[in-house]
Amino acid sequence: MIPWELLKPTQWFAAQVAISGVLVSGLALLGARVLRRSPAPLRYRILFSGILGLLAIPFLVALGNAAASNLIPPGEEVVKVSPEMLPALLNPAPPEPPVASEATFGAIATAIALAGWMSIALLGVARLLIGLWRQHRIILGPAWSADWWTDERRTALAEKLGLARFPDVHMSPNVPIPMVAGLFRPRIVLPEAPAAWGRQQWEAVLMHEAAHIARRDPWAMLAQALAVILFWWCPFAHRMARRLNDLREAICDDYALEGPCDQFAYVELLVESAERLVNVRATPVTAGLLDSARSGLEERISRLLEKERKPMKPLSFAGKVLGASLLAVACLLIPGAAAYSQAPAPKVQIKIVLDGKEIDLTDANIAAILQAVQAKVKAAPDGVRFRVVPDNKGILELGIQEAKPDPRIEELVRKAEAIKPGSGAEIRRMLARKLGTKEITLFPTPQVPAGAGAKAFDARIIILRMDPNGKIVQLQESELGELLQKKTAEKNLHFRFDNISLQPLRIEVKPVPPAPKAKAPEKGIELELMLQPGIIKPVTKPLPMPIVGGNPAPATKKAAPAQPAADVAELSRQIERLHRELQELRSRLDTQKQAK
Amino acid sequence: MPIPKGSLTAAQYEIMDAIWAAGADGISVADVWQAISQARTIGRTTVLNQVDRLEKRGWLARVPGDGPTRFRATLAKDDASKLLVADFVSDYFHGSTVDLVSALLGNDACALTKKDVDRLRKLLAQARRRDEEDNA
Repeated sequence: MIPWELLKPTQWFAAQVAISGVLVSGLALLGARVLRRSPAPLRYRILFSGILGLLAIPFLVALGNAAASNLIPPGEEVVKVSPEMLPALLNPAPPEPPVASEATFGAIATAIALAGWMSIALLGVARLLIGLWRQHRIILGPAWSADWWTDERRTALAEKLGLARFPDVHMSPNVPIPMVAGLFRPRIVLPEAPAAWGRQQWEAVLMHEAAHIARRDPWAMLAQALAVILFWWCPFAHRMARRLNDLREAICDDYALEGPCDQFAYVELLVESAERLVNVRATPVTAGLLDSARSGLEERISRLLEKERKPMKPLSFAGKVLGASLLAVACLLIPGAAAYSQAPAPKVQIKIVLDGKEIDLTDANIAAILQAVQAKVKAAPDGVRFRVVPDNKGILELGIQEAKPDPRIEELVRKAEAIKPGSGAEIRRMLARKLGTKEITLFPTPQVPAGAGAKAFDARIIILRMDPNGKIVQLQESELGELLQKKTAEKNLHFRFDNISLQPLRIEVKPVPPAPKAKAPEKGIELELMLQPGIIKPVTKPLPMPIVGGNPAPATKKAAPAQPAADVAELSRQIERLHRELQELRSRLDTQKQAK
Repeated sequence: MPIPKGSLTAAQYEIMDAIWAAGADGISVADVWQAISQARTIGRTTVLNQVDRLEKRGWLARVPGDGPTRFRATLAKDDASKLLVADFVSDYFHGSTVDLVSALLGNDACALTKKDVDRLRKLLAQARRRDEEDNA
């Protein structure tokens, strides 16, 4: 069993790549298998999408991991340290010596497996480079020529393949059978020893090889070889490569038979080439390859000799879209899965805050720091601290706006209520909206740049407290209201906390008015006189106020800005309207009485 | 006659081609250089070094006689070609080149045996016979 939790980041990355590789190659094979009756180009596209997917997996997994680490913000816990906890913090228990367990052996085995994977892959890359160098060393003799091989014929065949010009054809003393060599400038290479083939057979051979070049098969084979090297341990990847080789040859065979050459003549030249190859090959081959080779060429020849052979048409637009879609889905799913696999364990930083100072647990001077603040902790054992984690990683503390209810507003409300019962609430709501509902405001501590307090309203907020059992719990919205109520009551402040929302943080705080005394209704014109600019303080900007349970901020009195006269005029209009409605009601009542 | 060591590069094959063309009498380095220079520019020292290397590896032998040193090939061109093909096939089918080169017979052709070829011939003959019967 692999101990996932003990894996180092590199090992975890390798595990993600390995799992994705198996899934991608397995799905590509399954797709090609399900669509086995569909044209070969479609199956080829599906399998080749799998090859490209295999090559892209390391990058996609890295992308997913990077996205996961950037999108999931680190959490933060704030811990109140009680005096009882200090001895344990000052004298932590020595760490237990590591015990060789099954998990440890598992981790070592994983590391060895990873090293083996990388070593063999590197060897494979070296072998591939040697292969490229050897391919470059093929001796190219003079250009191949035949009396019928004219420029017109070359152009006609190139047009059939969609090429601008027919590739160069050379003879070589090296090659025993026709082949394509070269990556950047691929050429058709023919054996020097002349074959007794007719013109139609030669044309078929040239078309077969030129089709490889037109389809950019040399590059496809390089990508395929790299994918197999990277996932050398994955049988699905090898199987995919073999299927691609077979399909590639079958597709090019059909191009070869588009000319005047019939299938019997073509198979004849294939068999002759095989004979020639067997004759020149001096060294025996490994037994493991025998079956695949026999079945490969035999299957190909059997298909060519079938009377009702299904021609392998070029891939339709729908097929191309399907192949591209499969690749796109793989490209989206892999980083998504990688990010998801990273997601379950978001980092939670535990910070100890004592007396407004953050204690770094890794600090060498932690003992001295803790002792220095111990006395203050004793002085305020039940202190509660509120902290938020805004986007800019600044630390903000939560404060309460200390503002006493304005008696003039209450007076205004009472008068409106006397004119028309129920209208006081409307007046209060309007006042709250226009002239400054008392809200909890967030204001920055000195280390946070100015203006950060406004941002905090949209920040993720985590408010934690420690319960009597020492367990850290996150406050719910209702609990926060109760807590604020309690803390403000301790300070002889009378507020009511409504509409608490933690994300974004928004708390409406309303002053609790003293019990209203009944008064005789007064006229609206008198109310207007009581609403003078400057009486009501807006709290749209954060103000330095005392922190509940924490360090009180210096309470500086600021002159409130003047209230616009337009607000006062609007209020007067409201009162006048209410007064008019009251007059109308009274007159209607009088009319009804007279009618009776 | 001992088999020459190693294979030939394209440049060495060009030199060998000039020497094969000269026949059994052999050819001097200067003549080789002139023959190649007609097709492309090449340094005389380069030709001299390559000839020296080919002689050491057993591809060339000195022709005894007076005058400038003359060289002849130790293998006939056909034999050399067979050797080069066998060498390439060995490299090709046992190395990674097989993964990079599109051959007419496909990349698995290395595993073919004489028995397999015979079976393929039978397959072709049967198909031809069936076709003739159908047409008749």
